[in-house]
Parts: sequence; structure tokens; C-alpha cells
Amino acid sequence: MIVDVVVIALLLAGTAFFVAGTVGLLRFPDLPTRLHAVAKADNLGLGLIVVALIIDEIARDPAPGAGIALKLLLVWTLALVGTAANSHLLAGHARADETAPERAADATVDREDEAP
Amino acid sequence: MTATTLLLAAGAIVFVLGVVVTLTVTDLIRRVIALNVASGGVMLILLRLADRGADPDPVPQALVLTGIVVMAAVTGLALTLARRVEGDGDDLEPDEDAAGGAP
Amino acid sequence: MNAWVILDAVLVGAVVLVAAVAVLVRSRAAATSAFLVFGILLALLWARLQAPDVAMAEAALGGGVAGALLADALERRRPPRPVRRRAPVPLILAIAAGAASAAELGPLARDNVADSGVSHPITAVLLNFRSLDTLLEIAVVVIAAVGAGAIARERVQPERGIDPIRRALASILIPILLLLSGWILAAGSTQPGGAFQAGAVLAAALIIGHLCGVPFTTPRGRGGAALAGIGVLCFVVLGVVGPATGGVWLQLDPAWAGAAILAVEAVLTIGIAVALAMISLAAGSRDASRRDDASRGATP
Repeated sequence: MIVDVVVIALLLAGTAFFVAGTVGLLRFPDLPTRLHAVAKADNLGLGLIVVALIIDEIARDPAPGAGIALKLLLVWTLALVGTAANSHLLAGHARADETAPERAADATVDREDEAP
Repeated sequence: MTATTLLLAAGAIVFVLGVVVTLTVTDLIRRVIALNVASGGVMLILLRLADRGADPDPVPQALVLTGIVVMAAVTGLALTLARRVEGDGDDLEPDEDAAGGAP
Repeated sequence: MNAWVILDAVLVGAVVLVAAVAVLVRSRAAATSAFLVFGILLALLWARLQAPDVAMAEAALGGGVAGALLADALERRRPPRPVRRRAPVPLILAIAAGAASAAELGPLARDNVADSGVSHPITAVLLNFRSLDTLLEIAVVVIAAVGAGAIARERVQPERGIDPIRRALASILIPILLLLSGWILAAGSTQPGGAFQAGAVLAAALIIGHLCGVPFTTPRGRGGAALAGIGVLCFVVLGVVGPATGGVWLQLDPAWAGAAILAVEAVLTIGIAVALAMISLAAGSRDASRRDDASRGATP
């Protein structure tokens, strides 16, 4: 019972981070601040959800639970590596684009169609 | 209105959305996206029909799996064609091939 | 009211809603983003419909490969030239396809899984009972790869001068992806998995390798097409073995079916991976040509 409460609390906290990250992605003005918001969602949000799942698995069945816990931690580590590398590459690319005056810096500028 | 009927209706709605937009929109990228959405609707119907009884029916599932792979390859080819048709953004003149022939 | 029923209802409603958003919005970037979300939701829905193989394939190929191709296609700077507006096609042309699978095939497939050489029914259907469909599918993928390679403008060059971040990323990701691909391939005989999901993961490894400057990971030209075509050739050879030993085309003797299926799946994995990587590089990024233009100077 207490395990269920802890798991649900961690899942809700992780989801809150994801919501905050998405709001930041939509509302922040330019690429570096948006990367900052998304990185929070990926690192902490995913981390909390992974911890919740690990607790749930180990509480349910300790023997195979350890293997599943390791795999979940591997998922989180890979997500961290990916987010870090992506943020670095995207931010560097955006800065390089800004130095070329004729090119748009914001990667999310929409291209509107001429005809529907 | 059982769950099965709702799922099949959802699949039909998604398929119709995709096909109508594929046929009526002129932007090529959006048409590729709509085609993928339509295939998603068909897959939903097939998989719902496969999920009957205790064990899922593997034949429609195998067909859907084949369909996913084919859609990925077709999407790639369609996007290459679309890029060629629309022209790359930064080019100011048509591409000349290595042999020096007319573009 | 069960919690699962609520989850399923929300999931199906979200799928329909996101599908509507993906096709009806005008902006390409918004449509692509909605399509990526659509792919993930579909993968969840397939998992709920008791189709884990299809869920893995949808996540890897639908969300991964197709989504990455579309996101790459957004990189075009200039908006497309306006096209002459055409009259909309009548809506009655769009009729929903109600597919009815034959009622007898399912139990027939399940009853004969023991003779097929593998214990997972999906793999048995794909590689043994309906192997003709898989052969044609591989042929389609190879044709698409060769066609995309022929249409693409730029010669795909290996990247040079890669910064340390990308090299570190490649050294972490590629071994893990190779291991994962091999495991999914081997697991396909007994659990959800198989050649297609493994091929998609291996294609991702090849594309990451190309973008990070790892040698021998750039599939191009005749070498790439040859590797992709080997899958089809091996399948045809396997199919011919049947008539050669007095049976039917594409018939697999239960004695060696398991080993034959695994061998063909391994070759298929490599072929699919190379083909998908070729398609992605042909449809994709412009960095190679931009660098080539700068180094070439004045165009002749």
C-alpha cells in the first residue's frame, strides 16, 4: 500500500516536470531557452518516472526485478546522453546560423503553404 | 456501441481523414504525412480484427508489420521525389550532372 | 468502470484527435510534430491491442525512420513554389476499407507453429507461412532504396572534421545499438522481435555513424545497393531450395527451418538496415552539398 502511494507520487512528480518542460518549449522565446526547458523534462522528469517504475518492479518481484531495474536505468542514461549531445549540437548550430545574416536562426519558423 | 465498434469507427475516421487530405491538398510534404495517417487507420482496423479470442491472430499482425516497413520505405522515396520536384531551397539554378549534360 | 477501459478510451480519442491535427494544420512543421506524436500514440495502441511486435515496429519505423525523414525534410529554407490550385476531389471517393481477414487462417497458423522452426507465431507467419509476402516486401524496400539513391542530387560523402562531442556520442551509442539490434534479431524466434525491428535499429546505428564520421558506415552507390540486394537474393535462394529437394517453392523442411529462418533474418536485417540508411541519406540533410559548394567555389 505504502509502495503504491510512493510510486504514484513519483509518477505524478515526473509528469509535472514533463508538463513544465512542454509549457517552456511552447512559451520560451528562442532556441537556447527552449532547449533548457526540454532538458529539464528529459532529465528529471524521466528520472523520476524511471525510479517509480523500478520501485514498482522490485516491490512486485525482487529476483527479476533487479535486471529490469538495470535496463530502466540504461534507458534513462541513454536519454541523458542523447539530450546532452542534442542540446549541444542544436545550440551550436543555431549560433553558427546567427552569424550568417541571410539565414533564419529559429529552427521552428513555420513555412506556410500558398494553397491549402 | 461496444468497444469493438468504437475502435473500428476510429480506424475508419482516421483512414478517411488521411485519404481525403492526400487527395485534396497540394503541398507534397503534407500529402506524405496524410498517407501515413491513412495507413495508420487501416492498421488500426486490421489489428482490432486480429485481437479476438484469447490469443491474437498472427496473420493480420504479420500483414500490418509488413505494411509498416513498406510505408517507411515509400515515405523515404516520396520525400526524395518531393525534394527533387520542389527544388532545394538554396539552389538558384538547376543542378548540372557530372557529365555536363543539359539539366 | 475499469481503469484499463478509461486508459483505452483516452488513448483512442487521442489517436483520432492527433490524426486530425496532423492532416488539417497548414504548417509543415506543426504537421510533422503532430505526426511524431501520432506515431508514439499508435505504438501504445498496438501494445494495448496485444500486438507487441507491431508496437515495436511502429515505434522504430513509423515514429523513428518516417518521423526522422519528415523532420529532415523540414530543413528546406525557401518555401515551396506555389502550385496551381486544383478542384477538390469529391469526398465520396474516400470510403473506409473494412478489412475482414479470413476466419480460418488464424487458428490454422497457430496450430502449425510447432512445425515452423520457431516458437513465436508472428515470426512463423512472416518467415515461413507467408514468406512470399516478406520476400516481396524486401524487394519493395530495396527498390525504394535504389530509386532514392538514383534521384538524390548529392553524392553522399563521409563526413570529415567531426567535433569531439559527436565522436563521443558515436562511441557510446553505436555499440549499444549493435548489441540491441543483434538481441532483437535473436529474440524474434521466441519473443516479440525479429528482422524488421532489428533492421530499423541497425539503420539508426548506420545513420548515427555517418553523421558522426565513423568510417565504413556511409552506405553509398553500388556497395550499398549490393548489400541491400543480398537480402533479396538470399531469400530467393532459400525459396529455390524447396523445389530443388522435391517440394514446393519457399517450403521449409521442419528439420532445418529454425536455422534457415534465423540465417535469412540476419541477412534481411543487414539488407533492411543498409536500404533504410540509403533512403534516409538520399532524402535528407543538405550539409554535404553546402560544404561541397563552399569548397568548390564558383560553379562551372
